[in-house]
Amino acid sequence: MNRKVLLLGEYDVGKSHFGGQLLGRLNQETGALRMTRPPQSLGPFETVLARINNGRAAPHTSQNQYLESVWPLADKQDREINLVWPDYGGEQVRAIRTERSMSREWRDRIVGTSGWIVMLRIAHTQLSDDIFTRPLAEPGKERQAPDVFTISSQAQLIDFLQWLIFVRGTGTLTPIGNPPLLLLLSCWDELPAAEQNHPPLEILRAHMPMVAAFVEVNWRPESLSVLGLSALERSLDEDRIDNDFVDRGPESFGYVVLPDGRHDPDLTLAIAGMM
Amino acid sequence: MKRCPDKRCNAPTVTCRLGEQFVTDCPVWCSGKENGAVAPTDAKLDTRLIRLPWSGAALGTTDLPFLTGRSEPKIVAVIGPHNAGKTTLLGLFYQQIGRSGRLGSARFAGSYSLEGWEAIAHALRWEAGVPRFPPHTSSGTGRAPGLLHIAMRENDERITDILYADSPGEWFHRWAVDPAAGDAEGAAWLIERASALLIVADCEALAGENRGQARSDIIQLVRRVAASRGRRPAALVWAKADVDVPPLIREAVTKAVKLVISDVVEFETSVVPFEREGVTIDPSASVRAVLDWTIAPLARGFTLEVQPPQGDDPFFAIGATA
Repeated sequence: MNRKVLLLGEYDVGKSHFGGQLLGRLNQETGALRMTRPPQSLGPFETVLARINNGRAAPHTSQNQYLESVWPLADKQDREINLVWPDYGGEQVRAIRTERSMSREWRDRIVGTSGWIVMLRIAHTQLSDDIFTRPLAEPGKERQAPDVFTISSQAQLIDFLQWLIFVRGTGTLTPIGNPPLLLLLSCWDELPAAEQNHPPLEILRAHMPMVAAFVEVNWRPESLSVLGLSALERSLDEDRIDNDFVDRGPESFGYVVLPDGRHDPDLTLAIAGMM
Repeated sequence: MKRCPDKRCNAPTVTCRLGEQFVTDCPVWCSGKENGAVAPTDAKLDTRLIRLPWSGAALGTTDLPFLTGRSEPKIVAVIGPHNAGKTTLLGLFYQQIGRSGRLGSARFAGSYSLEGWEAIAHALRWEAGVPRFPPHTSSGTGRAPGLLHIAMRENDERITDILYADSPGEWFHRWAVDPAAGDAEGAAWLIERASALLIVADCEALAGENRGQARSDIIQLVRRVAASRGRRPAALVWAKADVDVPPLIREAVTKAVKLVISDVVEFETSVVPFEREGVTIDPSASVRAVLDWTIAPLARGFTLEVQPPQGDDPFFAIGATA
């Protein structure tokens, strides 16, 4: 049986664009990975590819468009995996997190996988200022009522990873070897220009120090990778056509940021570490 | 609302006490009169879904078996009068960890009460206006304190679990007066089980109008803690150190503390920078010093024979040292 690798990420981390671009690269068969046979369902990804071929951003996927897509991939040594896109829209992952419950179907999916790829939009995860970074002249005296507050993106991601570990029944007494974890820091082009040539792990440590610590101490070094990803290399608009993008074609855009900070246009390298 | 006939089980809001991922697989749950397999309308109570053993909020005593299965957590008791700044200190710990991912030389390895931490720490951020102090810890609910969990790991070693107790000051006031009082039960529970005792003195109160009362209260509390602490480490934190305490009062408190806890470690913390002997101390450094103290390894009175387990299964971990 082929090893299954789950690709997970919340709404708005750029999964659709990555899927469309990855599909284009796989069809070209010039990268590290290729598709061994056409997957059963490519519907939503074909739509995305058609949109970006016309130089426009893909519209956000709504929940009812959901369908699981399984891509059979192989590398040059003919090692095979099935890349599973279980939640194309990302709403299910969000619902799992906010409602703190998971269906049997999702449980079986997590138990049956041998690798996790988690996408996060790194430029959206800046630490907010607190009294350490912006000291108070005089602290606000009145106490805050226990009102609504948003959980920081660090805490959200850590709790989600704890979920995965728990549901799969993976022990944490010693660092995890199996399943391996790949954190894909998406929309890399949104980072300040000065940060774009840094190694992805360094960026994760700077933007999300608690998440970086969590994954580095809980996974063995050989089972953890942190890569950067810019699927489109620029922001496209849903309505306005980017003519330069059309003329040069989507295959000329997008890169993966490798652990040493180098940019490589072969998007299949984002998955190749899971072989 | 449907609930498990076993009173110690909190299903279906968290997982089954017996470890069934789906409560409908649990014979105890199914023996409940109303707990048939009918789907409830509220998704939060849908028994066909998997729950987690942790809700994210501060842990209560019934949540602990899940955690104690993998290690012996170290409980840090944060003791002090009402309004002394205990919860603020904990919020500062979390912010410190969130900014660095570190606890001393170890690194952050997880938490089963992230929502609980966020609930107190968000007040210290500039997200929605000027930071304020976290809301008061209420004394109305439950007899055990809310325990905030942090796991840490150094190099390749095993995970160490630490529980910080966020408890209302009223408990300690009652306990200092009469440890056997019904409403002092929470404080007694905590002080009996804690591995490290952090006593918080309120500089603002010790410098204020009622400083006489505040001085006598803190001394009484310290003496009570000293009587129950055995050989456990204890520290005194002067919270709100930006407020100057009259020297005579400060001296009296220090002397009284040293009299009964000769090896006490003293710290000063503040949410605003403050000066000591011409040196400005920033809030982050002052908090880090206390945080590092709370995670210092405990001296053991004996050496355990080390028999490391061969796998990840906590069941086989019995006999191994942390």
